[in-house]
Amino acid sequence: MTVKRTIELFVIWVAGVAFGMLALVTASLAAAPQSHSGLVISALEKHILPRVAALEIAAEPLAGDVKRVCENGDDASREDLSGHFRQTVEAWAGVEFLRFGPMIDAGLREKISFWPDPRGIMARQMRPFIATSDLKAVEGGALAKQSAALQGLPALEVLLTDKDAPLAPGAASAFRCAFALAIAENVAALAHRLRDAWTMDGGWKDKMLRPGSDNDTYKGSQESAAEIVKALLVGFQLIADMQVKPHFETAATLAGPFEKANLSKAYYAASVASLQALYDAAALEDFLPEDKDWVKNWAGGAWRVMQASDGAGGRSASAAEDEAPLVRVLFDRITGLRKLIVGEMSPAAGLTVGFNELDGD
Amino acid sequence: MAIDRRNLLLGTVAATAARPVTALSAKLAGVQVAFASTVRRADGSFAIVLLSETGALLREVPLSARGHDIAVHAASSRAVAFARRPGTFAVAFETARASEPVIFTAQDGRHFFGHGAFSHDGRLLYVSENDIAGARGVIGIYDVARGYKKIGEHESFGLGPHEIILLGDGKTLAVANGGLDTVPDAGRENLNLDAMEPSLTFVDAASGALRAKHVLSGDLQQLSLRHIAADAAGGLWFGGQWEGALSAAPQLIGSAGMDTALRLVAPPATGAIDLKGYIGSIAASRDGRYIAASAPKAGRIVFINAATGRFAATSLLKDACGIAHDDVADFAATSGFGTLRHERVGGEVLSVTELAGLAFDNHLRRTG
Repeated sequence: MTVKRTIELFVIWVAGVAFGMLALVTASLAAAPQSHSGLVISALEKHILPRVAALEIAAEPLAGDVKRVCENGDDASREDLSGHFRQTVEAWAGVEFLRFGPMIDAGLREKISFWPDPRGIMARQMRPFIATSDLKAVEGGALAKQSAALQGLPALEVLLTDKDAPLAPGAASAFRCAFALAIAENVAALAHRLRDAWTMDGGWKDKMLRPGSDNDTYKGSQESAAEIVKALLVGFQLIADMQVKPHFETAATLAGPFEKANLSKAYYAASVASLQALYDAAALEDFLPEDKDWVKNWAGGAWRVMQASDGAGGRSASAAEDEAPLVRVLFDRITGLRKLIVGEMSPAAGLTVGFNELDGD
Repeated sequence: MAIDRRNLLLGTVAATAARPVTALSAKLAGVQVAFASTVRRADGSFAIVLLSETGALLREVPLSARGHDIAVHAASSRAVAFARRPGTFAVAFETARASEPVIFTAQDGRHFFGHGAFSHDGRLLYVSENDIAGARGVIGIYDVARGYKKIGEHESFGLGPHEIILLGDGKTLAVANGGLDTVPDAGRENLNLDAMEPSLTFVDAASGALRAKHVLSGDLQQLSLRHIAADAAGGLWFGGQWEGALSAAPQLIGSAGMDTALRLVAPPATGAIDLKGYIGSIAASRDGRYIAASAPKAGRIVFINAATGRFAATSLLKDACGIAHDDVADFAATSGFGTLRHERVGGEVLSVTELAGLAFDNHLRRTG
């Protein structure tokens, strides 16, 4: 072996060792779990705050759209309204499972979307409400004092999809137009209230970021991080039980979300996308020890099934043609992933959620 | 020195594998069943477990899904475990011997809410149920001797009846009506948060007549009443679940009687105790002088002097939920992490047993 060759080999060896060390460092960096406070910051910055802002932005044009439809009734205005309604519904699906803090204050969730509604309460209330056509009940913010069933997106959906009495210029639609306008304004106001409650000084963002003995909700970062884990678990449960299960339980009669506007599948897709964004932001997998790779693999498979499905037994737009997971399989994957978070990821993260504290009864 | 049960338990901390003691070894050791609870097992399945005073796992009865509470008739050693809402199954078994369980289900159009109570003579079982289509709470009446055949119903006079107990007079059923409307098709979703009407009702067990009703309204409208226990003086104590924003949560524990108005406990002078909006179960001590309530979200147990209505003490136990009166200490408590603990009012813990792999569900019942 020549000296030159020896030097070459040495250089290669050094480079190899260096690369190996770099790879090790990189791998360890990639897998380094974030702190509990880091988890909360990540969830807030990457998921919660952008998505409550997205809901406010999506809902803002609805009132103007309703006005234009009711003033001129042209197709372009109707398409604008329909498009913005869809965007608002999808934005709502992205935050609906954050059932803590501002979302449960003063029934905000039910006011934005009174669903599920297995007893048909909204329809029973809307019929006489429209028949009475009392403008005083909807104008000047009066709608906010009515039943939650009349205030939100499902009620607006009914008005937008009623082919027998479409929103249009003229006296015949005057009350429906006023009602639709009031709902659009109300939803925008509620979405603003939601965002404000999160972002204002001393709001829920601050509450989560500044846990401590003087904080009335979170005494430590472990508690605020556990809140994120609970939100994830609620999200999985809601998709499985409310959106997927009715498709294979023959006795179930629950209508899908925004079914009249043909938005149930869009709602499912938006729910899954948002839940996955929160899952990624929380990065619970990073807490798993090396011998738990099977958990990551299983979770990856579950997400692929969720993404490939349309939530109703068909395939999503992004799925391959031969990929259409059965709803029962989809349900099992969602509930299985939920169990892995409870049983494997949360304990590894030091965020164990108790059997009884998770869901009161 | 004689070793009494207290001395035997005092200061012990035991960790045991959750494996049933064989019937023979239990008999040889003279081990008696002291407690029953529903659990989730390590493999994710569900069961009823029967435990000795010291927490030895004596027997298991498998369940097809998650259970909730167990009604016990000590004199006949009968017990019935109920499915968690909105489940429809119930499993009757004997605490004193391993006989074949009897499984019965809710009639069509009904589901169970997870609680029930035997008549004092053990002939009837009263069960909190939902009339799903009618959106009304009912008390199902079952004939024990006829294999738990349903023989009638009373109104619960409120939506979402949860825990139901028979008072000391043997004639009056007390019912915690949660005030929430739920439908199995919508899972566990509460459908009427803006219009809920929680209440405590006293119902004549024989006639079904309403004898008294306390409704929570105004600032308390979203305090879903769920769990109840009677004290030595016949007062009824309740623990609730707050459905609104935590920042607006009232005291969750209070009392009422058939002829006395409902009142909430006053916060201790040292400041309000954070219970995170949820009381998981409530029980009276054997002598009825103290009430213990568990707050699993806060990982805390609070003790109340029933006579004064004041907080006596608190103790900490992560995911604490099951509470039962105790012969050794004042109370026994269980947690979702497999802990069975004996403790006195004042927070003195006499013993802790960890049952590996078991997650105790909401309620713990004394079997005798």
